[in-house]
Amino acid sequence: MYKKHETLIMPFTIVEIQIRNELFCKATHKRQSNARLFPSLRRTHPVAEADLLKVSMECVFGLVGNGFALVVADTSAVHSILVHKSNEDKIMVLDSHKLIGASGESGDRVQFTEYIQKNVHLYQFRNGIPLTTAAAANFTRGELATALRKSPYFVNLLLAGYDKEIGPSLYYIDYIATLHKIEKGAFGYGSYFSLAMMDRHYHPGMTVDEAIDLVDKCIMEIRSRLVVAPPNFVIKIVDKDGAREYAWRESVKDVSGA
Amino acid sequence: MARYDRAITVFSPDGHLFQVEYALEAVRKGNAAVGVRGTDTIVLGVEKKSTAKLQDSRSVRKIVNLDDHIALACAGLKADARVLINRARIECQSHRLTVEDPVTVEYITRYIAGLQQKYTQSGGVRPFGLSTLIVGFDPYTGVPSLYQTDPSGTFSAWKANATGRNSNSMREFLEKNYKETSGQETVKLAIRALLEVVESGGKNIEIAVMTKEQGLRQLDEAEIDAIVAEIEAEKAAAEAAKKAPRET
Amino acid sequence: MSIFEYNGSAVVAMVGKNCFALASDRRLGVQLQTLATDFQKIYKIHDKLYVGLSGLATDAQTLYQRLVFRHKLYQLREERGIKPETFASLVSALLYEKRFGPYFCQPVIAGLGEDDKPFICTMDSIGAKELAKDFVVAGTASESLYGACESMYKPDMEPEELFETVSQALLASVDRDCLSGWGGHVFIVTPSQVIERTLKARMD
Repeated sequence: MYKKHETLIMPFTIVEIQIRNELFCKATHKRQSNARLFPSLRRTHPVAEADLLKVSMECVFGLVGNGFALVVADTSAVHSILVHKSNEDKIMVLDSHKLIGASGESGDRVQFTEYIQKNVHLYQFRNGIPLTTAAAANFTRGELATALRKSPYFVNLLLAGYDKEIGPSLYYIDYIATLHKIEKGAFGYGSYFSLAMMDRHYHPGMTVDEAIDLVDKCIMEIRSRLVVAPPNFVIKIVDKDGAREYAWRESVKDVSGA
Repeated sequence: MARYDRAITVFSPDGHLFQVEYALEAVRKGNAAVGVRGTDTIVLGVEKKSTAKLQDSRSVRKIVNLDDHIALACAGLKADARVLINRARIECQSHRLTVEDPVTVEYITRYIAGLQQKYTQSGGVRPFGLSTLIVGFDPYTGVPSLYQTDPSGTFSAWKANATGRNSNSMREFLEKNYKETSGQETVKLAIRALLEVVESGGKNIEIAVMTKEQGLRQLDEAEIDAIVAEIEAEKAAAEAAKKAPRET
Repeated sequence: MSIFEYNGSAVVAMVGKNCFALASDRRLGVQLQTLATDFQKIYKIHDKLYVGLSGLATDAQTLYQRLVFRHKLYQLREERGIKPETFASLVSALLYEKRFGPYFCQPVIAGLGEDDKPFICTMDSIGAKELAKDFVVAGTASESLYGACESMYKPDMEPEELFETVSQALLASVDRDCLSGWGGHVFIVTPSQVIERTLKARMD
């Protein structure tokens, strides 16, 4: 009834937007009609209960300080009991003043964050101004929410950004597309420790040094209390001068050397 | 009565697609545009329609970025241009998303030309009344390039070229005066070509300079005025030099 | 665990004399983990119409966006705000549209209708309306809210007394529910003014 706002196409690179929609419909049609025919199959609904118990072994957390926001993520690529890589960067620089820290299914994570990044760039080319952090967060939520009832992405996101008029901000977006503006937040098993640590030591208007101190406390707690603790972390910061890598916290050198 | 110009997908008996030719005519009536390829800079220039007194001249842009390293200028129907530019921008980001690499200038030119061609062969549509000049540096080799496309969907590579109103006289000028140039010299050559057919002054032209390091930069009116003044001074000096020997 | 209990919520609406109250808790959690204590569950549709959305937070947000969209279209077409009764039907229709893949939300609608007559109603996640003259409740704390409201409610309360009653009922109820609480958010709407207050509560 209402024309959907046209955005980048994913994952097909096809000229006609309509074609992609048709493809999606065909792919999802089966699942829906099955559910209608066999009520018992409704359990395979994307937002079914078992789905909601997903907690990843990854640790992503972030906080807002005085004039900056930072995001921290572990850098392990893990599949079942194997560590494939210990220098995987899970924080994407979305544009000059935005960071997106992501955890979840690794394929979804890369695919989805790149998709968001490209759309944010496209917006900038079309309109000559960048999206605000709030707008980018709402766009991301919208994409996750539409995907949720079709073929969901399993990615949890922390979106940090700096806007001239607004200052630094941090948004919590989980894989079922819950959006909330926060001062501090975390995902994964690491969240049990980092959230507690931040509840105790965080205060509004922290300096970079204080914040990094707190980050180190969180990392130490994760390393000492979490049985599946990842060895390495990356810290990225965004402030008025832009988004950039701040530091690494490594206790193991990557074996693959990549 | 034969009405071969009604449906664009129908040839006339002597092999013409009239609608496409009318589109070319629309381009010939459109604003002049020029592109010059230097060794380290590429310059795009277009003629600006005189803006009304109360209009904000910045709201009309005829040279645009398609991606960080690619720019496009066009002559013809401005309304059609927006559609084409939008599609090209989507393709640029889509290309990055699927294969991780930025598009090459040739690739995006081929894409735009392909799109234009499609509108000469499908039913129920009319061709884009547009001719475009596409410039950029190859993201891998750093080689600068300049391409042109037209409503029929053909494209070609150039050292320097012009399109739109009076493009022939500009092209002749470029053919006569083209040298391998770089930096400010390239900018000057482009402006000189444009001044062949446009009234002088920064109000009437729009210039964008692309370098490998800085990407696209639109010159502001004052900058253009300064260069125009420089060119006019050179012209006057040459004129004087020509006259002087005769007088003595 | 039911999907309605994933984020935790408590929403209650109560009718007073020519006024109504709509209150909610402020917790946003993921099961037993609390993420935020400033989460909004009550949204304004227009000056005299509010909706509280309990249940899965993501669906509440999506639903709210769609409701705002539909209400704006209605306003443009009709050049007036929507009546609470009509709005309830609209919500119901939107929910039933997704009969076989519902929004996991239980909305509470409260507004002042024609002649400023208070209207409250709740519905299930597929849009079955449940109208009430006194109070309606929703969310993970709904059982205890029923008890509290049942014993505290009196007909025809004035705004200030209504505020006190609804706040006490909310705070008492969320103390018996692990998944909601951490502060409250109360709206009292009368024909001439809207009072919005946030409540401090037990933070444990």
